[in-house]
Amino acid sequence: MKPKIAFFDFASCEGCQLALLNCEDILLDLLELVDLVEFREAISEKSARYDISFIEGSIHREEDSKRLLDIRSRSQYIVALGACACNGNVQARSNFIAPAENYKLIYGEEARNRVQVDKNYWPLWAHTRVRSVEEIVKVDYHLRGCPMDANEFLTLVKALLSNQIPHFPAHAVCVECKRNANECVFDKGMSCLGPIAYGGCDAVCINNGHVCDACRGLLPYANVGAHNALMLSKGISKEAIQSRYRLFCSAEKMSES
Amino acid sequence: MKTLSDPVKSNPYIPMMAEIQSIEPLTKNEMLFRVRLPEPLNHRPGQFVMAGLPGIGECAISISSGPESGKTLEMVIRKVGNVTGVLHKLKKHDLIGIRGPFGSGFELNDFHLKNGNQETLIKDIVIIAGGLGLVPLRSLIIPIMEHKSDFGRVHLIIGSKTPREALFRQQIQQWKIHPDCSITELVDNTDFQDWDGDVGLVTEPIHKLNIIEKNTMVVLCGPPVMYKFVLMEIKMNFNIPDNHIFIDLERRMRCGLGKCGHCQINHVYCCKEGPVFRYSQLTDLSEALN
Amino acid sequence: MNAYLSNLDQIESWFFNLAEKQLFFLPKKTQGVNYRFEPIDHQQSLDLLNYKPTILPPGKNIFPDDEILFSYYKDDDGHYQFSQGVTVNSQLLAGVRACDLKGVYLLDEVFSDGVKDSHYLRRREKTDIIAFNCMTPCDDHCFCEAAQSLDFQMGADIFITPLFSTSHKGQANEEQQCLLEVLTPRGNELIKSLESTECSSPQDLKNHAIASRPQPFGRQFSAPIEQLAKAIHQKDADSVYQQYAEQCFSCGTCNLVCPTCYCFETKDELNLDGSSGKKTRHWDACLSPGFAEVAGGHNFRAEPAARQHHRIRRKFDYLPQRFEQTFCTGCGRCGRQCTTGIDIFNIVNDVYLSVQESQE
Ligand SMILES: Cc1cc2nc3c(=O)[nH]c(=O)nc-3n(C[C@H](O)[C@H](O)[C@H](O)COP(=O)(O)OP(=O)(O)OC[C@H]3O[C@@H](n4cnc5c(N)ncnc54)[C@H](O)[C@@H]3O)c2cc1C
Ligand code: SF4
Ligand code: SF4
Ligand code: SF4
Ligand code: SF4
Ligand code: SF4
Ligand code: FES
Repeated sequence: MKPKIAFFDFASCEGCQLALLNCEDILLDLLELVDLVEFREAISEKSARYDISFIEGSIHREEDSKRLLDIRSRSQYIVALGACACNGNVQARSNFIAPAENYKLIYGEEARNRVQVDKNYWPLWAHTRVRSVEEIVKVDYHLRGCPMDANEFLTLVKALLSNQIPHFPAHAVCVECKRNANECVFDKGMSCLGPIAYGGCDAVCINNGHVCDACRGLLPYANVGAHNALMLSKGISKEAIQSRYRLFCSAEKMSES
Repeated sequence: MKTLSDPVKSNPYIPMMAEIQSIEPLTKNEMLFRVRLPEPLNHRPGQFVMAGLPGIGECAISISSGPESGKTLEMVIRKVGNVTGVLHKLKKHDLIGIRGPFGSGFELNDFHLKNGNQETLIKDIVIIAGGLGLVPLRSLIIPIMEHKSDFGRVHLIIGSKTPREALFRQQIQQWKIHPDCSITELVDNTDFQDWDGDVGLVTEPIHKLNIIEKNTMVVLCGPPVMYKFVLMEIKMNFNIPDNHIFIDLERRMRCGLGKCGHCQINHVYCCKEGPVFRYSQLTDLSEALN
Repeated sequence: MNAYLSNLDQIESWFFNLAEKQLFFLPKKTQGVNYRFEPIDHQQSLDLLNYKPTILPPGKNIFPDDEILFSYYKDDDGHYQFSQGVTVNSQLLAGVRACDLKGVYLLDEVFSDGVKDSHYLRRREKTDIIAFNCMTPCDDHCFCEAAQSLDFQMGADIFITPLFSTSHKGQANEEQQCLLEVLTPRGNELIKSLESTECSSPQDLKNHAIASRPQPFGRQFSAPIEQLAKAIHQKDADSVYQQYAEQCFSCGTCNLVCPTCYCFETKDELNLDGSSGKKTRHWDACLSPGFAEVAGGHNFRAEPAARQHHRIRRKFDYLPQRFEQTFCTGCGRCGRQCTTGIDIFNIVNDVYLSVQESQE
């Protein structure tokens, strides 16, 4: 029997699914091998059990985490798809700001004052912490990045289809950057989070003339202290460094440093 | 530089495909694979192969059959991860990729009662195996048992966690009938199961060994934690020269050829100079027993 | 073998000439401050005299990342059919520095030692090298003289020594005479298309050029390399390795850019059809945390200091024990490219000093 695969989306830009749809050539071959039972709302048939559930997006509301728990209980493997699901992504930056302050930033002071006294708005304040999938359920595999990497997606699916355990080495972006013979952006007067970030993206940003902002999250062994010192030595201000760290890795251990 | 002949034949990374003759579960996580190779391995005891499947991967697996096994190769594979997990799903008649044999292994001559000109005499052979450590040592025990009259007294100390994990118990029974062969089987605990052996750690029977120290060979294989304690116990009780103690080590291995660098222990390659080392070789290798 | 005299102008047109017949790699400036070995292009100015070592050493062209070790498919009877992978084209690496030439020479030694690595050797057979001697230290990171690789010429087909001072960047002109030593039959073939005159006293000219080089040439260790190696062998100097480990990201850059690092990870890939695939190898780094980890999670070098210790001893102690050559060519790449500024030159010097101190 073909394995049943499902996609579920939470708070995200849907860029990961787009990245997936962009690789049509492999997707068609893949669809022959699996049974796509749920693709957001596109397919209506509801299957009781899923072999692989891909979760896209970060978790905000209480009903979202309930839905996630339900998916977990019905899935053999849960795969967190993309930076939102893996570590909260940019939206988790709001975790560093008090909810009311956040509301003010978006809707203005007057609106903030109004909703604070209006009982109808109170539930809003209860669920404002942005969470990664792993903060709620056990995640079997992470497909990191914003957006996720189509090659890694394929590696994962091929491994699971052939009874293998998918393996994603935990090395820095620098490894792939050097394999591609890139000139280090520090040599061009820019700065980079590559030395402390999860690789696997083939250093795509540096290949294309940008810097790495660690969209794949921090390595478990990231030497943040040394990186901070390096950034300071390049004349970057503390505030700028912190903001840079929080851009993508906000839900992770950056919040402590 | 020498010109290389046939590209595929001179490619040391291409495995030969062997047919699985039988698969026998030994414990919950360990299976005995008996495979038929296209050509004999001609291995020494203690050597290993890289076993796996093209497209999936390979891993280092000890040769468990004796050196006279011809085209038949026996391996015990514990399911711990990706490659071993896939191998556990194979069936009789399936193909499995094998490269090797690799590594130093044992010279049976070193263990003989007398060699050609009767210079060295090995009167006692002590073999201590912990857990899966019995698997490679079996390739040494088999030829000793088969030619028992060429060898002196054999003392086997075999430890497992629980009776459920004990390996090759039937074969061990057969070894016991050989003359001058004492075998101690132990488990760390019986875990509420039937057990006719002893209970305790492999270090416990060591002090009771009745051996002629300077004519003794000792062989150890087991999990890394075992070595320190066993060596301490041996050193405390006996005066056996370091070059008479053999230790079988494990490292991450990718090539088996002394190239990929993963198995390096200080300046030696575990896949090339090892996995069997004399203790005297290890004394200046600070990374060996950590 | 023979030696010839020619000037930079003539050498330039010779290069363009050779490039029409085979894949021709030459150092080329990046958009920033670095160089890379790239296929020659006609707009390019040849920066042979003053270029600093390339981001990756030229030896990587012979030991490429993602090399296919074999590919296979299962035929209708279920038998595996293997093939070598890719066909290898001939290439010429020009402008290779002495330090990088030694890097290639050391890889030759490694891959032909014991079981031959047919993939490397096949590419090496099809690789021609025109090396270019250094007259001034390439930058403040290099220590090739101290590492005994300056003037190294084994493995080159042709070895070029400029016979004039190269400290000032200048346009190629007729006075810029170079000595070209032909070292192999292949070199003899290559030199045929160069406009040149035969040279009868190459050694004198070369000695003279070498004598006019700055002294000392580049950074020097606190002691000769033999003594350094002895100190590194003698004592584990954990505190020195620890001190550097505190700054280290374990990012592996220092390994990946090194001309003598050749450790690799293998990767097996299955095609979607489930019955064909390939095995490839990828540059690995012993500074990466997972390098010595085995199934079950035990890591034989879990601490960054243990990994740094391994790297240093591999270059200055372990591999020299096998191949009787230091496995650091002094090219300076690792120090130049480590984002946090860890330089192997300083580490080995500090290890030496700490061993000295402890003996006093
Ligand atoms: C000399 C020697 C003899 C041995 N003899 C035996 C024996 O007789 N029987 C036995 O059962 N075992 C034996 N072993 C141990 C055996 O080699 C390991 O258990 C085996 O390597 C596990 O492989 P795995 O793929 O199943 O495990 P995994 O845990 O999946 O892989 C092992 C390691 O590789 C990494 N890894 C996983 N997948 C990849 C990938 N795709 N790319 C890169 N890295 C990856 C993991 O992080 C892990 O560190 C021996 C080992 C040695 C060195
Ligand atoms: S550009 Fe970034 S990722 Fe690349 S080597 Fe430099 S620091 Fe590492
Ligand atoms: S280079 Fe950095 S920012 Fe870019 S995709 Fe990779 S991890 Fe993300
Ligand atoms: S390049 Fe520098 S930071 Fe990276 S692993 Fe090497 S020494 Fe450490
Ligand atoms: S260790 Fe550093 S200086 Fe030495 S050869 Fe390698 S990259 Fe060059
Ligand atoms: S390290 Fe020495 S040999 Fe290498 S480029 Fe610099 S000066 Fe030349
Ligand atoms: S396994 Fe590759 S060097 Fe030993």
